[in-house]
Amino acid sequence: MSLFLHLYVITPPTLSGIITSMFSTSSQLKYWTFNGETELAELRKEANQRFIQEHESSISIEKQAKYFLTPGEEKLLIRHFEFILREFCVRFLPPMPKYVLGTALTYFKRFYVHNSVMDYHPRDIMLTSVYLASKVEEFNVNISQFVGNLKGDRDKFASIILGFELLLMDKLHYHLTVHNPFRPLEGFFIDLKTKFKGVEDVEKLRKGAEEFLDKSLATDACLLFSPSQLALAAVLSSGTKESMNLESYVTGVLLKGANEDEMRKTVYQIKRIRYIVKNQEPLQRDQIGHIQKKLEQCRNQENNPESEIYKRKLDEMFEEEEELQSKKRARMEEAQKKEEQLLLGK
Amino acid sequence: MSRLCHDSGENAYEEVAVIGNGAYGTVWKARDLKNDGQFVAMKKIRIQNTEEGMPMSAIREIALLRQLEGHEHPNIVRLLDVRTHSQANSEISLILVFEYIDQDLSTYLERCPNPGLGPDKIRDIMLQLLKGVDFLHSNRIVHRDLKPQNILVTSQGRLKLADFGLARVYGFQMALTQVVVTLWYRAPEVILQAQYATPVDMWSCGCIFAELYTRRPLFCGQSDIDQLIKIFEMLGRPPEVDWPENVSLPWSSFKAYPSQPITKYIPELDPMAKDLLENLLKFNPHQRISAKNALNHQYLRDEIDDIQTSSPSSVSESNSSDGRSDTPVSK
Repeated sequence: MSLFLHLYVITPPTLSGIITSMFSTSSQLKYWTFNGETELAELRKEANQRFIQEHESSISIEKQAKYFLTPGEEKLLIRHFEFILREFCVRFLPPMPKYVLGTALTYFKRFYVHNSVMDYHPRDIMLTSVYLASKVEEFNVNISQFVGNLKGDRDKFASIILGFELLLMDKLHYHLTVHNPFRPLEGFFIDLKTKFKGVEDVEKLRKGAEEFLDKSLATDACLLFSPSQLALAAVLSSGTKESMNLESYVTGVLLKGANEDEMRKTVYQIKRIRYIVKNQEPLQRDQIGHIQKKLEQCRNQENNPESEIYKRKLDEMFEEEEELQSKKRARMEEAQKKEEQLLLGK
Repeated sequence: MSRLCHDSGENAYEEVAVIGNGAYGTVWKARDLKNDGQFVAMKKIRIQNTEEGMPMSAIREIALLRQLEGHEHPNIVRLLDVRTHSQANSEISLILVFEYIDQDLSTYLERCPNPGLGPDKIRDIMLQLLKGVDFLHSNRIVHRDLKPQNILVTSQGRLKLADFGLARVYGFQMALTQVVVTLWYRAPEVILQAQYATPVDMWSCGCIFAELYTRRPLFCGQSDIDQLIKIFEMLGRPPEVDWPENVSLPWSSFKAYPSQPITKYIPELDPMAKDLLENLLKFNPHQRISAKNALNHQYLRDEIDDIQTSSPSSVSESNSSDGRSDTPVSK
């Protein structure tokens, strides 16, 4: 994985210090950048299987396929909710910066690499992802402002979001800093303006590049590539659209001094990104209704804030907690007493 | 607000003993049951849950600690794990699991036999201390409470900074040596409650530097004013232009102490060390040397050059300070 990244090569020198040093040691690279779509598909399938194994006992084998969601159905539903998440952020008031959306979407995608939608409903995780991203990115909105952007029972949504906040952080292993491609994109613009003479109006590239990054959000690209690779692919894609030749920028400025192998790998990665972004499958909305109906049947009711079992579990948890605490207190008092006795020589 | 939280409990760790206490929580020595029962330091911090969920400041601090950990800086204590635990409806307990190191610089100095550390060891300690501080500053973190009690020393002599970030925000520490909150390492601008930034840590480094020679604290004030008097008795009262604005203690309330040569207090100080120490103990924070510049100071430069010629692997370490902001701001 790290072989392919070669960040020091593909980051524009003006920003190399900042981006390289921050990303190359980041948890994003270490824990949340995967080898390829195959690995992602494998992990998601495992999450799906794990859920089914844990809950199959009550269902006969024949009925299982009909009862539980397949990995394919999970994927469709996740993509559907990613779409809703993006729409929600774009329409959010007050206007939400792009990087909040980027961070929220990254949380959402990371969460469902290791968890099944049958365990945690994507609507709950989607809302919580955006709320948590707002906090981490210092986009100041309070919870009532936040749910004010939603239609329906706002108190219920607020309680869902606050109920899943800790769980989401935990499942993300508290790796909450996300490196988005928006900043490296600005870096490339600066680099092109200052170091490359081949393009007259660099700003012409902006629209196409930003559109490319927007499109990339609908794919798994942020789980597979570094932010600067994504930004470079965006710039190059925009260059093609505007019939600007940026090849000499890549070979002569950006990768100057790189060996052939590094050059080849970078070009290959950029090609992969452009392919993935260009060839994404359309959302299949007609199937979503059916999948959601199925989900209502097979989802884990213990994680459904509206279910009786959830409420009961919550009560039990707090009772247990109290019990545990009082036991612990007793134990400590006992130990202290013993110590005192020893000290006093009784 | 109620929340369900799975497998984020404390079952993976077994508490052995309390090693620290504070207003916001407790530090435990514990066993990591997943890793052959090796010892860890487990800080439990109580965070008041709000109507907004976990406070933004706490979440951002957790994100920052996690992000810092990615660097695995050799002079920063390892953060091994983060967990949360809902305790009651209004409280979250955040559990930070650190590597356990059973010696701090304070005990290290106490255990050091006469005649003391010797110049080479002192230089090695200063180099490690400044590298750790430089790393924090380049990540825009002001430690604010550097002192021998929260500088840990491994059995191999590796220095590691602890108790910064969230631990500091929530005001308690993993101090192995139990001491009352001490003023002794506080920069004058902190005592005067003026604006402060990264230079406050450099002042503390200066106090610690002197202590490495003498094995006793440099300025042992009994109160805020006494602390300032102790400082001025040695360094002289600063010129009025250097006095911070809008502080409650006026410059004129202090006597015009003349400055004393620092070598009177530490006779064995060589000229390079003396120059660095004087630059660390500048009253005016703008004139105080930065961690980055201190690492480039001739006193340490020789050391770095020595290491660089003998082991190439350390080169990247000492040069790893690229690309950070030169003007870190106080958090």
